[in-house]
Amino acid sequence: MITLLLLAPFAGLLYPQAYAKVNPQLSGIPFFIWYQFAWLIFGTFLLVVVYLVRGERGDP
Amino acid sequence: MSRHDQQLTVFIVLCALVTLLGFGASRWRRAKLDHLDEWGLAGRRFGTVITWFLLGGDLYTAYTFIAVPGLVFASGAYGLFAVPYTILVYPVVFLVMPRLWQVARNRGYVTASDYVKDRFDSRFLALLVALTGIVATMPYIALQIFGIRMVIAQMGVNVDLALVIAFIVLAAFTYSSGLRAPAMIALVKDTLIWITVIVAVIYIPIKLGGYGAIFHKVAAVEGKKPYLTITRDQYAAYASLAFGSALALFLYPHALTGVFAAKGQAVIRRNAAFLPAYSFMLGLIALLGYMAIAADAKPLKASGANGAVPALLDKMFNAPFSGFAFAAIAIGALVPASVMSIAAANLFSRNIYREYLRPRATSAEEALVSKLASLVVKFGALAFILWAPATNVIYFQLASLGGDLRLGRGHGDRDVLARARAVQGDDPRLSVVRPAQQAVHRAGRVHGEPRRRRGRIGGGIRPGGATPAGGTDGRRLPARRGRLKGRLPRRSPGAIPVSAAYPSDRGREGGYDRVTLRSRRGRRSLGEGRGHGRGRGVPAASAHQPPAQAAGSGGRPADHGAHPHPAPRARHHRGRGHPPVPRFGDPQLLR
Repeated sequence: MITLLLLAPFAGLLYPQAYAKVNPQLSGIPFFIWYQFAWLIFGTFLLVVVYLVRGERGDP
Repeated sequence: MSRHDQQLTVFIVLCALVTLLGFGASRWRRAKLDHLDEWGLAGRRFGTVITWFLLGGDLYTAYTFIAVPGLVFASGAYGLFAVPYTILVYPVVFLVMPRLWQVARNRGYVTASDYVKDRFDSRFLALLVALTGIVATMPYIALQIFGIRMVIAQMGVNVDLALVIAFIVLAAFTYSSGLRAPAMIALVKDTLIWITVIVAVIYIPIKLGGYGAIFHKVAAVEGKKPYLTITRDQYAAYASLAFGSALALFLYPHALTGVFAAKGQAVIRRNAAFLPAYSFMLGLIALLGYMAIAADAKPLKASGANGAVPALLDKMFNAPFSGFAFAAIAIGALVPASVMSIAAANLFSRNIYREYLRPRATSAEEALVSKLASLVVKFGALAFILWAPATNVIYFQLASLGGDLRLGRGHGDRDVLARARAVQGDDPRLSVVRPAQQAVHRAGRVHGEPRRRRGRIGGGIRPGGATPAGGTDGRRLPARRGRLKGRLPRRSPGAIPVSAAYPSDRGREGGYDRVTLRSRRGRRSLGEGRGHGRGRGVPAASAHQPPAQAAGSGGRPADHGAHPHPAPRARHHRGRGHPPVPRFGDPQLLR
């Protein structure tokens, strides 16, 4: 079940309509860019969580 | 010394160091390099850290350092599709690649084509996959040479001569050391690249007045164009490029080579979780495209937008550090070029040469052909760069980048992926082949059996097929069939070719035995087998292990501490008096 977390980045990134805008900016960085960087970090975090929870188990 | 000379001195010193490393790599974890597993996969012994460096060095190429920021420089935010692309690839890798690794390890696969041949029982499909892999890899190697060319040109050197020297060196150490060379050089490459990138994304914005100022300038320079975000008509392309590239990346031969060279499933899972660090780096490098706009860096005319990063580095840094950065990029292109040529060469030697031209080739001959093929592949790519018209080069590079043609990105690979995925979408996934896999282990014992069988497990379903498990184990299979049917989707029993139970290198005595023997010697950590995480079942590859050995190395499951494994053994023994062979239809194996 925890593996389903890995679907989150797909939901967050494959619909660019939702984030293809300049505002709100984060200290001058356009939303489009910092949003994706945030996903970089959050996506990696999810992967690490899934890895730690599942251990070396092979099955989803 | 002039500025160019200083840059060049640093550049040459670093490249010479790397060259020495490349030749020295043949002594690393020394083994006879006249076997494809050793030359082409470095003995499948790379641990987590080496694999992290190797895959990072292998996947993040001149595409990352030159082409992506070049695209951002030229077309703005559209080029950032590489960011979601490299985020989305790792969940896929995390779920799919450990299984593929296990199958490859158990059967001695060296290439994706080996897998396709057995899984789909089709030599023709395997040939297509091999050809696609080779054809898709060549322009990708050309892209690496192109990247080297960009930095050399920025230093004002005779480009063609330098390229030829670089490639003779590359070809020589790849030939002599195999995958060990790029793996070792990757350590240096990644260190240089990380230093360069970290310095660049801190130092350059400071000079330019901060990230806010950079984007402000970009918006001012290109007020009308969508440089900071993408436009409505780019949405579909952006999402599909990201998604398609994410599915395709690990089907590239060089990516699979890096995966197969790992020593365990756990290594791959950990890497899937920690490789995104490189994706972060890729994102930062993409931002260099914006910095180049803001800093008003002027790429050389001959280089075009792809010269943006070298021009930026040249403009912002002093001579020694820019030489350092150029060396990082050039070495960064050598590593993937080397792995790619190895991967393409393995496809040729394993799936074309031995499959079609010389089925009886020994493994030494196979390895030699692979080495020679790696030379041909590299110099083919080099010739392409040197003599093809420059406009075409750009075209290839754009294609490789994921432009409309996507020449370099392996359409065929993706078709195969789609098929593999469709199969995996069902419950048994890759482990559908597991029953067949055990058959191998049993077949290993009845070694006198004819090797080529085209029947199917659960035969009799197919007219003219072999008797149920005729080629594998007549004793037990029929009794288990009912159970098997209960656990697998309806079409699955028919989908398991018995030929899949044989090693891909059938026709060569001992090909498979070598692999099982290895596990008999206990080199493989059993903790990484399937099922161990749950403390039940025995990984298929350990099936052959005599009980003593199984107790010895199987007693350390990788995740759940160090309880020994009496339970599975007892379970599989069930008074049969043979070593713990996972039984056909064992739910653990079919899951």
